[in-house]
Amino acid sequence: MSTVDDLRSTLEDRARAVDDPGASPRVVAVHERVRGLRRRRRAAAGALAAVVVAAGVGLAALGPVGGGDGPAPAEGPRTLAGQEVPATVSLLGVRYDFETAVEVDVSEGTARVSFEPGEQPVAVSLVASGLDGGTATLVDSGDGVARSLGAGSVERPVPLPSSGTSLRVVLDDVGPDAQVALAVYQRGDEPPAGVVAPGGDAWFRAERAGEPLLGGGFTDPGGNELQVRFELDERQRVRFSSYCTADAPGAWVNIDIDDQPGFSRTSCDEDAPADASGSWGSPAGPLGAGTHTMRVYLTRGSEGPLLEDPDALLGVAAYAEPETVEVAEAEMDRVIEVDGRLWELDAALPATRDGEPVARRVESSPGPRVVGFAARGGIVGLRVEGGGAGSRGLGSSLIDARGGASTIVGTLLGGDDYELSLREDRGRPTQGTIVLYRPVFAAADGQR
Amino acid sequence: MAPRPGDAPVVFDEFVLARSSSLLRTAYLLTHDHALAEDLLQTALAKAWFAWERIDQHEAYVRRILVTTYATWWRRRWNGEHPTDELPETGGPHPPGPTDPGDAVGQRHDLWSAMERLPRRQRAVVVLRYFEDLTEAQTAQVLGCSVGTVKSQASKAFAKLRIDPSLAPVPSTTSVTETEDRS
Repeated sequence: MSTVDDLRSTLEDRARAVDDPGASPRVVAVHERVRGLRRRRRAAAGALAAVVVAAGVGLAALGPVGGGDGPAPAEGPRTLAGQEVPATVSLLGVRYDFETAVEVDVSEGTARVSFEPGEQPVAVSLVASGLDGGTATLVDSGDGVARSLGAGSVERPVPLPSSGTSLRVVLDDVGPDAQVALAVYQRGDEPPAGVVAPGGDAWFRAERAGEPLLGGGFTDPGGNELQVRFELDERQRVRFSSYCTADAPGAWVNIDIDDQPGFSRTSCDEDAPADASGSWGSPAGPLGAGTHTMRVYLTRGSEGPLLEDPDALLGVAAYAEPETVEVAEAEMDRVIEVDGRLWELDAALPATRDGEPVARRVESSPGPRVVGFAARGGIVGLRVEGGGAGSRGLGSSLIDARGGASTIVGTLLGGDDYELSLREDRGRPTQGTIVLYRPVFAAADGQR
Repeated sequence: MAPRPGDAPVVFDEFVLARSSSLLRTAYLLTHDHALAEDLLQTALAKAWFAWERIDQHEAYVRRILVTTYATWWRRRWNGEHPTDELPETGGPHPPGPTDPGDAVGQRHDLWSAMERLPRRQRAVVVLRYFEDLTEAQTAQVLGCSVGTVKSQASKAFAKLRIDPSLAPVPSTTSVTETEDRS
């Protein structure tokens, strides 16, 4: 006869029988998810109202620059915090129009500005003048995303998280005459050039990191399978991106390439970014010249049956692989996309000696640098010491480098000294190199 | 000592290394599916990462995310994929159940199968109360509901198990009450 004891026994028996593949791979997998979430949070694909809410001391004024009852039209440039800011900006081919501004009270050390989810994605530019040698730093969830130094500047807008966020503006040693503000831009209605999903809610850009879209497509809403062909003129390496939204729990998106099933299997996000170009996977070797077929489909679980979901939307695309360089026996891209802009490889710093990590210093970084690393051996992360406001979120990326791997970690803001070192989570030998990327300035940017 | 930049992620990693196997078992008891359990656990851990520095009781926090995320998944799953898996309130004649003590293994299998047919919140209550050994108040806290809801969900869960065709006579509500008293 069944009793509560039977129930307990059943649960305990089933729990004991769970075969855990191991916690170390899980650490790596979770950090991959965190990285993906953080990228998506700052991808130019979120949905935030360009309406800000002051939360905490330091905010002096809200509303459109120059007063008025509503958002100023995106016409010519305007003056904000003693600087001329552009009316429109382009972030990876997506147009953003000036929407509103937030002026920061410089008599306080920190100002907080909350953004709540809304209809249109936004990006925020840090604007400052008269800093008199001090700094103004824009911090998002512990990550420094922009800093103004010296006399001041108009920093390039940073796309904000899709789920809403609370930004901090941290002022350090600024003079009494300093002016600091945030210029808030809202994404325009037109999707960028490329392949766009029905309804315009998602897209694959025509170009990623300077390389062209080879082919791509989306299902109609409710579709659970799609095949897309593309042509290669010559043997080359290709990177594949996918898009998936589904309401059904446990939905996974799968990609088959030609006759090889299961090239990629990942869980399907409910809040996938509109710009589906941002993440990708790549086969180990090049594909031959000729016609190739991508198949994307939705399943229950990683290897389950095809899943029907009336709310599903799937997409798949192929891009040419950009130029890569070999670092620590791993490949790293010469040009990358981070925070809505392009960065190019600036320095590669060997970070191990005889299998042991050695610290590398970056002193008074002249401007923002994206930091990453390549390693071979063990489960490896980056430790970042030093740095001022906005360095909290750095140093959290563990990757499985047992077969050689590389990753991008975050942004080192200008003006700080940093000590960078690799760490293997069990102290096992590893070989690795830390890499730094500098921003690529477009002639039309007019911004730092 | 004030935390240094980079400290929090190390603590997080150590937590995952030390505690995630236990959490995986809970996830499996909730989902009854190994792939979904791993997916659920990683989802919960990734969500927790963003709040890591703001929380004190990390395991309780992750467990709460785990259970509430599961409850959301399961609600959609029942509605979207298996709408007929909800049991009727009244059943037909029950098949004979195992009466021989040697049938204990088969009976547990049947009980496991019957639990799979419980609505999500009822299954969550069963797992939290009888595997995690949480009190009613603790269970209510994890699920974000009242103690009364926990009691009613537990009662309904046992009622459904009692009428499940795959089961022999099942735990009575009296047994539940006795267990409640112990906690």
